Amino acid sequence: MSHEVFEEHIASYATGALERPERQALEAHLLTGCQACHAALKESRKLAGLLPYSLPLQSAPPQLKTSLMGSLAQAAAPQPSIVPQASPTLESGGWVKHLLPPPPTWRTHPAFAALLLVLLAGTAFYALSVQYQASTAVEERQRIEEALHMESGRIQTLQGKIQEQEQLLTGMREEVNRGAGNLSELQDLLVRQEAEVAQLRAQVASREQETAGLRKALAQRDEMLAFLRSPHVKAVSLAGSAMAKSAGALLLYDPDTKKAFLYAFNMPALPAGKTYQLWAIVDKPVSAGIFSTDTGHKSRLIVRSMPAPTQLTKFAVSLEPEGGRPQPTGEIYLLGQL
Amino acid sequence: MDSSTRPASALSPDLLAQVAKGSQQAFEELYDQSSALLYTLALRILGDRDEATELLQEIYLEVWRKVARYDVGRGSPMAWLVTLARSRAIDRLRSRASKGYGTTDPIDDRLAAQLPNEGPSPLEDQQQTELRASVRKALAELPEGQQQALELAYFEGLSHTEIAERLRQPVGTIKTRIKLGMTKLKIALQSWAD
Repeated sequence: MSHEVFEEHIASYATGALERPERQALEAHLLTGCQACHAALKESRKLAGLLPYSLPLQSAPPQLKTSLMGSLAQAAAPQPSIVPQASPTLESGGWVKHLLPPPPTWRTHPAFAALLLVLLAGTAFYALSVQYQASTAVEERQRIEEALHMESGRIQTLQGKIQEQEQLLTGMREEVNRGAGNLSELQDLLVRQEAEVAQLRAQVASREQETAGLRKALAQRDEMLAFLRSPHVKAVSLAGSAMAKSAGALLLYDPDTKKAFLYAFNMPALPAGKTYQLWAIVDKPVSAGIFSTDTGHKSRLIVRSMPAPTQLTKFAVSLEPEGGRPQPTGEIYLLGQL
Repeated sequence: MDSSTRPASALSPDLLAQVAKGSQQAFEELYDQSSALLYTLALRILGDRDEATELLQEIYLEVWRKVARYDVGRGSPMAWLVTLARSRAIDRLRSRASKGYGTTDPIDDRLAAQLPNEGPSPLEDQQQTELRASVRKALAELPEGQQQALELAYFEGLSHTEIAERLRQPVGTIKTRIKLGMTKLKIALQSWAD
């Protein structure tokens, strides 16, 4: 911790608000003899000591003084060994007198008196110096003991903290391990779920296709049914020519709606690049549409708009190049009339 | 009196020296000059007259026996007595709290502390009256948050964390409030704290 941090703590230390670890750290810093911090602390303490003056003064109960003065007689006298004095005056009377033997009759001899004075001064100086050294050593020892005590307290606190942190860390590690286990399980689950979702999507797509096919078929059947229900529908039977003797077809058409339906059977398989083309014949053949055969040699063709439906009497199917032709160019395969 | 040299207390170190020598008369004088302030402080912290009286009895007997502990270098005799009284009172308060007794109501005490100046008391001289007025004014001029934080720390012995919990503020805010409060008090009371 830096000196600035300690300085920051001094006001709180003087008011008593500092937390224990901070307080101990500051006290240890003060033990290093930091003059600036000592001066700041002295000032803050004085200020804090003024706070009680803000309170409305209350006098102590009068019996307290009586009881206190009565107790003084039983209480031990103050310890005079460390009498606080701004300027200590060492009263040389008392203990020095004990060093002197009873005055002999020859004490007035000037040489003896001088010798005695020298001896006395030497002894007194030695005694004072020993006493000073001893008291300094005791004070030093006390300071060191206090510092040691404080440091061991700090070490204990720190050890406690380290232990706490280690426990916390172990707990966190376990938590992380548990979390990691859970995470990999969740990932597996996620992969499985994604595969299932993909499968379901494929199923949905295939169902949608099926549904579309069914809808189309249904629409065709509806159209067919509506077509058959019409009272003006006419039926024409087409017979196979020499090109397809076993083939035949049925053509239904409604002159009102101009719609027609061709159903052909036993049609020869189409050669590559060829198609069947239906012709409606009035004066000359007009194309009514092209069609191919399925695997059973059957064909279905719906004609949306039959040309000149009211005048129609003849129909034919020829083999034409792919895409059909405006006029028949190939062999006739089917032929029929009303 | 020159305001730059006003001492915060009339108690002189010589008086303590006489007490240390065993002078009951000096002790009586010490008591007369300091007991009201120490009792007021103990009462503010403990909120109980009997307990405050008991505490004062203990403190003065301790002063009588251990007056040698007083160190001139650490402050005035009055500051020493105030520190001793506060420290013992807070110890009692904590020991009481740990035993599950109720604590004083800080709001009532705060209100009591903010009562208008009741004028010079026969217990104090002019200088003490001036000191009281200055401290009250200096505290009253602090923002409320700083005043509260200082009072909770000093009179109720609460730590930063405890004050933060009590005032529902972050600990950092409380630290700053105490530091700022003390800095402002230092400026306002410079002549008394020197």
